[in-house]
Amino acid sequence: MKAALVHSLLAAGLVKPNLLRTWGDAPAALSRSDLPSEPFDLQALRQFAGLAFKVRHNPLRGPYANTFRLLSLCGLEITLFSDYACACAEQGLALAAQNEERARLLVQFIDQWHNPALPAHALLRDMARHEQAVSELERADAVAGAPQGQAAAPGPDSKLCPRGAMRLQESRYHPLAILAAMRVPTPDFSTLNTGSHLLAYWRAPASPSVQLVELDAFGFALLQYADGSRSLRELGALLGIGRARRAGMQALAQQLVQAGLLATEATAVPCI
Amino acid sequence: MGGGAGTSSGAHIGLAYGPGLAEFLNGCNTAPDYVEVPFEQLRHSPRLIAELQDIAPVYLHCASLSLAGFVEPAADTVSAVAGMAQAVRTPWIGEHLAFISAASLEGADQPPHTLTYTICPQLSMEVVDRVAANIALLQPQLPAPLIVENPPQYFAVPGSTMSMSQFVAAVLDRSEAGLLLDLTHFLITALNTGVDPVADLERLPLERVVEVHISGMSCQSGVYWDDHSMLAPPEIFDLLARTLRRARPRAVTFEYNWAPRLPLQLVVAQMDQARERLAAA
Repeated sequence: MKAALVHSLLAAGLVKPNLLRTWGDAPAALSRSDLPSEPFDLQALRQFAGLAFKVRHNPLRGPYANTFRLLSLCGLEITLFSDYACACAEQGLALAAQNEERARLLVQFIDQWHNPALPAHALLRDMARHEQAVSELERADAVAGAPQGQAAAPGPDSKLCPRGAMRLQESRYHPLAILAAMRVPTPDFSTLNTGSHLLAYWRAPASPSVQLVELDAFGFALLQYADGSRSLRELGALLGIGRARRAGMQALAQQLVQAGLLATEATAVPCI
Repeated sequence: MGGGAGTSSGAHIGLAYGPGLAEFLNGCNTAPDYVEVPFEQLRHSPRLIAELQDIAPVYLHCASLSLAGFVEPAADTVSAVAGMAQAVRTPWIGEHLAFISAASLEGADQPPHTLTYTICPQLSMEVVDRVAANIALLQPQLPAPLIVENPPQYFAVPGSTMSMSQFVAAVLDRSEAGLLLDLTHFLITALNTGVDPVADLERLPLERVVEVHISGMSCQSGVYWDDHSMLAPPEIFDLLARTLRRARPRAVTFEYNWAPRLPLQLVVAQMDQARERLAAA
């Protein structure tokens, strides 16, 4: 019955891939007299656990189509999902039943796992977070709020808040540039510019679609802290804006109000 | 009931059930000859049966019988497979030459380790005998014939004494089951084990092929992997042509069932290519 024991070891290692590391550290566990003398290829088993875990994430291939394509293009699927399967097993985490939660945990893992020094990792992290922002905002209930109309110019005492649903995040690669590069069968990502792209994913009230707005650091910070409780003057103080630049800040706030991203009334839903 | 017209050879061209089926139906304005559906999915969503039978005949595929395992499937699982096979009137039940559960290492009183993905077994006479015994035990309980599918081999299983093609041939030699030849699994195994696929194909009992599976594959971390989100490479169609020199499959299933969006024109072109090869055989 050596085969049955071999099958049990394979199955145990795949159910709990963290066992593979334990066995790697203590090979004596696999050197029993009732086992074949050939070694178990623990690295290959770990990779296979990654394949199985990847397949269980297939329901995410709709909203995260570009993340999965990027994983495939960069040859990272097996590596990522092997590491993820082991990490989940070590923490005793079962796969989330709901796709939304499964996606959230996967993107969170990619964010922690990625090595920013490796361009393929950075691309993946940026695309995963991009698709997460779009997917979550699209799925959110339609946001109520005042129609844009003729926006009044904000004064120093105006209290500002985001209009509609919004998510702010930084990206090393611009997601639209990644998507443009992915339109060909064998993309060349080396030509993409890297930097710090400060992005607002914005779903205006009553709108079904999500817009992507790139901001400068000042505008990004203003949207980050404008939560309806602070006046423009207080926001300036919070952001360390001196008297000389207050007019510039007011003009920026005016631009954001006119673009519809900020409202002067505290009617909007907070950032998600 | 819908479904296409098959081929002039009498063989049918089908699609595996997946999120891309709706797009295929909308985009192609026609149904495949049949839809192959995993038993596990139908068990989870029985309402699918009626929905799919409105589209095309349903062929049942299964990953729960653990044919190459030493832990018998639960009696309620076997009866559910039988019931489902009866309900969809499948012409056969495809099942992997693999295992999905194994006895716990924690002791006989513990529940077995059960996986979500079938594993290639040890390739040995001990397992061949076990598969033959499992088929002999299960077949009388099922209303349609079992056909067995060659699994992909990603790593060497300790204690193996034969190649995959020898293993498959030995199993068929000891049972009445037909062969579900997964050409992508076959090519993956050949590439991962350093075997010439063209020569190795001839070692299989191709006359026993009932159904052929076709899907995509990828190479990552130095290993070839099954990938149902990608299109099959041209090598698969070369292998299909070689298979048809000796085999007369009754069905060819395209397993593009992992992703919701398919490059429809290319999928249809591949299906047409398979039809032509079957007709020419």
